[in-house]
Amino acid sequence: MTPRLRFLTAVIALTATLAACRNYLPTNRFLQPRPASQENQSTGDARHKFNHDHHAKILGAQGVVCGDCHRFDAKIDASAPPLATAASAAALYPGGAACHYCHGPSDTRIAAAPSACTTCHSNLIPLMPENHQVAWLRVHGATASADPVACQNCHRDAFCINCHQNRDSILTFMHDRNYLSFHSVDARANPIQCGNCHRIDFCTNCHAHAIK
Amino acid sequence: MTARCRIGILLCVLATMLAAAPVSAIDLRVEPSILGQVRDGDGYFPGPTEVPVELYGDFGLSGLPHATTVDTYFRLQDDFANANNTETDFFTGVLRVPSAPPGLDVQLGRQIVAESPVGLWDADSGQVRVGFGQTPFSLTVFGGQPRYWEPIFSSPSQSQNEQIFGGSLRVAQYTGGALALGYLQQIRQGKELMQQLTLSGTRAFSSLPGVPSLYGNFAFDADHANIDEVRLGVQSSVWKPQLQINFESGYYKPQDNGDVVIQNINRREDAVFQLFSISNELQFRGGAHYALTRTLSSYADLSYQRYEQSKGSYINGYVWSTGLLYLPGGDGLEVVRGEYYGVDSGGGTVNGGKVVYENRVYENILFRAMCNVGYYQKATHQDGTAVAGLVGLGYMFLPGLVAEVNFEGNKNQFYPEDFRFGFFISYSAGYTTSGGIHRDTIGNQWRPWPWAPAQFGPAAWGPAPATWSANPSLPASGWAAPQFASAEEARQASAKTDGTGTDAAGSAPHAGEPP
Repeated sequence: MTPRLRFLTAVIALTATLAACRNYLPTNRFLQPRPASQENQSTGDARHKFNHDHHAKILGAQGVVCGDCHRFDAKIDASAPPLATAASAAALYPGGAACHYCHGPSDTRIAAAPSACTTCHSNLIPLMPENHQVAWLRVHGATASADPVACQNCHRDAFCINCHQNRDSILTFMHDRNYLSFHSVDARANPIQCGNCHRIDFCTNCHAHAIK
Repeated sequence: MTARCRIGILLCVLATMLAAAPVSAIDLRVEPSILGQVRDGDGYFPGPTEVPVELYGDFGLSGLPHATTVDTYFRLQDDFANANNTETDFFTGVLRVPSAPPGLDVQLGRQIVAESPVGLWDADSGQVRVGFGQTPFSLTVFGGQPRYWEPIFSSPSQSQNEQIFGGSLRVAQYTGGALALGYLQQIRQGKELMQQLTLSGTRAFSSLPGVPSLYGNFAFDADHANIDEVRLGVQSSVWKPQLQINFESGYYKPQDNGDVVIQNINRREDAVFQLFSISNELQFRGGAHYALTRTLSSYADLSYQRYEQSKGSYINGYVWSTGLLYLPGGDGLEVVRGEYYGVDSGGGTVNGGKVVYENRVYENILFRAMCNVGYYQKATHQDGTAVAGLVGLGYMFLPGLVAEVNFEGNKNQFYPEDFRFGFFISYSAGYTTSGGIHRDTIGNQWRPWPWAPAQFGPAAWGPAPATWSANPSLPASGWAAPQFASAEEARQASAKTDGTGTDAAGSAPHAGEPP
């Protein structure tokens, strides 16, 4: 068996072993299984950000009255009090459409209303656009240059900097530690890619030392 | 002025602003992380044991008048075994006033300037963006001095005396896309390197099968009268969402220098590329991702590049990778990824394999392991096997507060006698005045990843494999991902959000839609 075949066999065996452990992991009071989170399935966290006092002036100026957002005519079956309470609360809650009417994205957006998703939403995972799902690392540059405002709806500068400027760290990020051994082969295969992150100083600082 | 001075000044400014404003109206965000490592001196620069420690900080203010925000991000690095090793500190910070007056967005500070399709700069700059009511038009003007934090070990060989000026005009906006015209002028050491006229855009066709999305860039250098870049690509789903494909072709020629090698690197538009090539580079690449089952998916990616290294000598480069991604349980708490990768170029060949395992099944314990073995044969008749391995164990003391210990074992030509071992301990915490501990960002978006997370697949596929669509509970990235909630908190969150999730899909914006 060649070394490569041995390695491949080891990889498959390790993968299978690790994956098979899932159902046999011990649990006790120190090793509590992590519950399946419900947080990522809803954008409902935003409803708690709404402040009537903060909106009263602007809504009043726009002629918006309570009934424009809230339904008070919902008929609740009072025979089941807990259910009636929940249903009543749900009926009164206007939903995201009411917020987005002014804050966008919509044609009715008010220019003075903050439009970034992060204005109200702290859980952004359910809001992830569909175009982020496929080849996004390749595509995002074109999107960012065509419409940078779209990025700022959810991301701060730090999100970009964390990848584009975060080099020479004690951490590994894009390249594993062994990349140093064969980076020259990769650089010759696609020299554009190096320049996406590195300046020429990154090359010359080491290679100049070697020449000396 | 050193980075520490700048950070001190900024903190004083922030403290002053905070003190002068109503406390209840301002949200202060503090998210520091500290990481340390003990390791052997690098073999390329022999030395004693190194003890680097890095402090990352992400301080910010929001809730200011006119939706104003202040965001900062910095890293301070010190080697406790070598007190002078502080050259890679960096700092950015930006003040943004997005709506004062309405329709005018002003940003000032050290910030990302990304309006060019051929580059991204972090620059001491100002940006002004004007929206024109309900029209798709949006005008952005920017200018400033780019900042670079390389080199690492010596004085810069490429000048940092550089300025950029430019702007862009968004001329159209679609569902899932936009089209923009741009202008960019780059000056280094007082001499103009280029004046680019650019066109960039993306557009999704939601009515077509597979919802294909086109994207592209075009950049023409008016100074040298040549095309700097053309890039066109498409991403789409085929046969329902199970198979996703991405094809892209590109042309790149940063400067019309013909057969002449420009000796002065400060006169080169892309000094790294022009180390290797005297011509343009043509590139074709494609990739596919196929979900075999709900928990098992495969991917493949291949790219081909061709350029002229010297007169009459052409290089054909190939880079490929293929692998399997397995999510036992389908909940993303356990990830297994196996990958085969390779490179073939004028510099030699590389064949390697990588296995990544990540486990967050337990509420307080995190575990991961990674092994990367690459066999290379270089054109310089060097060959060998380079190994990189890592095993990490983390413990979450509180939601958002994670301590990690990682052990590394590496072997390459710089450490021929033995494996290299090290460990680092990281600790991160975040707090906001309005929300207490900020679980949804700690260790995820702002904190640097200790290593590329298992989900961070090949470049073609971004952070979210197709299987995630059917399972929204999966994390966005990183192992300290958002769902660091205790069982009780999860139950409370579930109760709070009960009945309110219906607007999630309907209100999710597409990138490029009007803000």
